[in-house]
Amino acid sequence: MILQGIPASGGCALGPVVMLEPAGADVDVTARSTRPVPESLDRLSAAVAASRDDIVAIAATARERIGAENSAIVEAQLLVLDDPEWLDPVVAAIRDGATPEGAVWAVSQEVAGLLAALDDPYLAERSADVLDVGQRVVGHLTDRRRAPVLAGLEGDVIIGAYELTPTDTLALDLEVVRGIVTEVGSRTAHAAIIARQLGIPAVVGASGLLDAVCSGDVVLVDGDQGTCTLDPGDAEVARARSVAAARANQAVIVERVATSDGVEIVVLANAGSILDVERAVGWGADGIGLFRTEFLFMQSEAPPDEEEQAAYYAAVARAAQGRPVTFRTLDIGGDKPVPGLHVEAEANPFLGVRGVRLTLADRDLFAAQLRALARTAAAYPEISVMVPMVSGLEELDEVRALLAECAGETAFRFGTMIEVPSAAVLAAEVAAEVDFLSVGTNDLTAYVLAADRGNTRLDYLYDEFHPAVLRTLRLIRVGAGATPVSICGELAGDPRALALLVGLGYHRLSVSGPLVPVVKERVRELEAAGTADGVAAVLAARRRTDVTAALDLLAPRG
Amino acid sequence: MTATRTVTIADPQGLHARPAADFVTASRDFECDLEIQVGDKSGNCKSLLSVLKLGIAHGTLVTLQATGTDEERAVTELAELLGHQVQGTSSP
Repeated sequence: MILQGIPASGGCALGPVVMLEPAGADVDVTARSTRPVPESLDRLSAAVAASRDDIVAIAATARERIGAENSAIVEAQLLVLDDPEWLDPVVAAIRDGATPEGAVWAVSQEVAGLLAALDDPYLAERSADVLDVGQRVVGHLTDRRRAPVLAGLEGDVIIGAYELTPTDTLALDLEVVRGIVTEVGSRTAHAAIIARQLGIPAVVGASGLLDAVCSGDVVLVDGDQGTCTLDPGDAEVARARSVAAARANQAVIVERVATSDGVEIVVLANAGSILDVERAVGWGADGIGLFRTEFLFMQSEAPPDEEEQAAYYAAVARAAQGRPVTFRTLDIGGDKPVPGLHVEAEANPFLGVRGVRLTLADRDLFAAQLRALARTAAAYPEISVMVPMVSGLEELDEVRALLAECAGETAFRFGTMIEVPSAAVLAAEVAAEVDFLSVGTNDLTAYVLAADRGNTRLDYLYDEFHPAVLRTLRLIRVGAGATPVSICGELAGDPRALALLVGLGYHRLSVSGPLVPVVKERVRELEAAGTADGVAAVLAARRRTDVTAALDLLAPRG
Repeated sequence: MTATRTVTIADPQGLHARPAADFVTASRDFECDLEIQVGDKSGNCKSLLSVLKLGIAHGTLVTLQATGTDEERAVTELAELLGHQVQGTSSP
């Protein structure tokens, strides 16, 4: 039996499922208590106190695992726990003869329902918090807590649930949880976001899960296809194992690698959170080639101030344990709204006020970020900073002027992304002004071909192997000259592109964390000197089909 | 024993999200009963859920009313936290 859901986090996982029961689901809210009211109130107080201890502990874990900025999600739950709007009706219902668990669950559902009905995304989130708190208190009252279930797991398991609450997700033991499947949820749900950060395959919105699956059943979660297969057949299991092996069982290579003829290739990882950085270190990354700073801004309800940012960036640098980290300044625009930041809706956000265009228009915001990064660089000199969406020297001049004003021009190694075609054409001029370049192949491809990557009708056109894109990569590499240049788009981790990129002279590749061991292994098998003919053939290609033929010349022998 | 202050909300986000949580946490430090009034609606300053449900936007005129022992200090400090004071009265 196959349940179709939404692919929320890529990869395959196979194992016995552990179903998390919602603690409140089977509470009879109409039951009358057979115990005296004072006893019920005492039990309520004890359960509330125990829940408070839980939440304080989870908040501490959250600070460690996902940073102080995100632990606010959890801390808001403490305010719910002794909120009179929640607590008073619970007490009133108990005085009225309800059981403590019945009162807690009924009031939690009612309050959550009221908040959800207000049609405000922030309040809808609080609605989930109220249910999460209610469930926790009911769990203590009925002695059916979820946390010990989560903590006591062994072996490789798949977690199944109606939905995973924020605190559930934070409590997952990464050593044993191999996959996640939920009955409801969306790609943007908290659990889905965290699953992607952690590299745990996940399927959400698998309708029928609760009816079809019990704890102990073996399921196959395919986070690429968005399916959950109950009792998978041998062929499906074999396929899942090969996907999982390719992703996970690759031996980690901690040291730097070189091609068989001695060309050192630096293999970096892309990251968006402290946890990503920790995982990247675990996968043997030589550093972080692209740290996206948007996450901090997305997760906070108001733009984080200089202090918060400085603390966060320092934690990122610490997590890299001395390896270099390249921070990209805020890369948002009309297509990526950020809470608390007013970004004008635009007819064409893709060609609108994005990246450095936006931060230069909001000087206070940009200055705070540059100052926070400068403070981080003072303590962690191995970090560097780059700005996204630069289209020419004028923007660089402006950024430098602002930097000189707020932090000093030599506060950190300073570089620029190359993703706008005009900057690619001017690569030599741009390179002369900065310490390094980093090519964002995703946006570069889209802009060179004028094709939105997300538009499925243009799938045939958006192609990183288009001859024009590959010639642009050569243009940038030649223009960069002696200035260090890296590649940080999807292409950097594409096995078909490795020989070509190395042959073109790109010796710094920044890839998604789990790909680091694979790329390092392939680098060792590659002979850089042997790529010349293939590279020449690729650059001579007139059509996409010529590129395919030329890439065969670069394919590993045997 | 009752003090009131009327202020306009200075935070660009309104009394929402983190500012609301900060406001509620600050309110809980006072012993007096604290009410926040917006138009014909009112809420309990010590309840996050109650304050959030008022949906108070930036620039809104709100009145704080405190009844109890530390009422004067409560409305003064909370008004300062919220924004620009418009008028205040206190009655013994």
